[in-house]
Amino acid sequence: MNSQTEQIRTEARRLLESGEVSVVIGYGPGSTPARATPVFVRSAEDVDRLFWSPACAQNLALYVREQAGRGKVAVVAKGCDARSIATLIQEKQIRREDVHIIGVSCSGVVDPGRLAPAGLDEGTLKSLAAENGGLKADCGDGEVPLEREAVLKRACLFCDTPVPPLSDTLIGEAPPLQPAADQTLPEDLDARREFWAEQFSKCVRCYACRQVCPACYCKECFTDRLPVGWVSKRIAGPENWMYHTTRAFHLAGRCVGCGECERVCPAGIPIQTLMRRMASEVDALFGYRAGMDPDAEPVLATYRDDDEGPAE
Amino acid sequence: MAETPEVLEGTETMNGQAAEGAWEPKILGILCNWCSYAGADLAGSARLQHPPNVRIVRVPCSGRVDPQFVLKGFMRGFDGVLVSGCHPGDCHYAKGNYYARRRLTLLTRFLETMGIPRERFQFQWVSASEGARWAESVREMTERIRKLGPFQGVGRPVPLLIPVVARQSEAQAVGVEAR
Repeated sequence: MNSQTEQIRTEARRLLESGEVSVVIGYGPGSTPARATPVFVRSAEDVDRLFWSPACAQNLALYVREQAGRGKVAVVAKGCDARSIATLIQEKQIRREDVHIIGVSCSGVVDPGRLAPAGLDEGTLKSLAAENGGLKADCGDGEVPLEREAVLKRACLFCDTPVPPLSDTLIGEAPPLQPAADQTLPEDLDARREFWAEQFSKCVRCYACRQVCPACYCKECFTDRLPVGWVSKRIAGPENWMYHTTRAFHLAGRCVGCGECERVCPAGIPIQTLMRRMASEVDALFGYRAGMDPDAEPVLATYRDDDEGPAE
Repeated sequence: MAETPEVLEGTETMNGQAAEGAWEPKILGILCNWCSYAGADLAGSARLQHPPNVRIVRVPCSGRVDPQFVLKGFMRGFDGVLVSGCHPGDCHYAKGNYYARRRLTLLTRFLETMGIPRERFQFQWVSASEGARWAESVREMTERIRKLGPFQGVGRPVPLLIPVVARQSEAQAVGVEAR
């Protein structure tokens, strides 16, 4: 058992025994060492169901929002997850006093879908562990180091907030890692148009990206309001383009870059390449990064007199 | 080279124009009711000449302009989109144009991420008294789009994985009435 698991359990036990929270939302072991599953722990006897490993990929902020209005909850949150929670507080979806954030410093989580292409047999995987910002796996013949670039959730490679900026309990220290630069998008505009046309042509409109996103909480999504006609159900190039661009804009200044959309995408569309671009434009224009300050006004719900704009 | 953009319902004329020979830029104009629409109206009253390439949609305020309006314009094959509102400080609703300024400035940059040159999207301020400024901006934008040429469209057609015919026969096999 790693020290994070131990500390998460200790903290969960304390919170549940004191009655401070009614439920601790965290991670439990999944079907293989490369997979975790969200668990809801409601009594102190059950805290051993919680664990921590580089398999803890899900963004649990999604469940925190679903619990809104049902009293105080505790949640295990990585850097990105904590930023999602901050965004939800900013947007008044949850109240700060209703959530206890057990922040865990994270050096990146594994995307099980990338194991096979990296030449790893998930079926024989015995263990998976993080070590000094690196990863090691045991497939039955001893522990071997894994290449982060090959097996991590893609968004983790570009992560610049490994330590949760918002937390009530902080576990672990900042890993010695530097974010990579995303070079996926071509420089030439025509090539970009072609790039997205090709990527979006793969989309089957399953909306997994929307369902998994903690920031996509509209009761009725524009894609479901078919009579309004912004986008039809038809799976075709222009409609797919419309879906993805509109979604990107709805998440402008709100997406924290956790990369869950990309991880769950069955078609392998680099959604985060789009969202990272959007985030950097928002930062360049308004000096704002999503979910860094729970007290900040959402960036597109406010303005400044000296914002950049057309000549008067 | 990009494939020919699909012809969608309601876009026949713009594709039709291309087929007939001389291509004319087709520009979507989204104008606020209180300043720019009145400004465009003034250009007309004052008999100021400008090209007829802008199709105007009137909205209550530039703050009403959802970036989706612009995206939809490009999706439907417009060659350019022009959004025009009251000058900062002049908004009929006090601050609608300030919100619009944030969103649409961001949109300009986002369009480049999508591979749409920023020259195809114009966001400007025109007051009710600036008929000449309106006419000038339409002339300028039409010429700019004319130089850029027709917009190549945003997506390629997706092949149907299951042919419709197959699905119909399946439906009949299980006794479901195909609608």
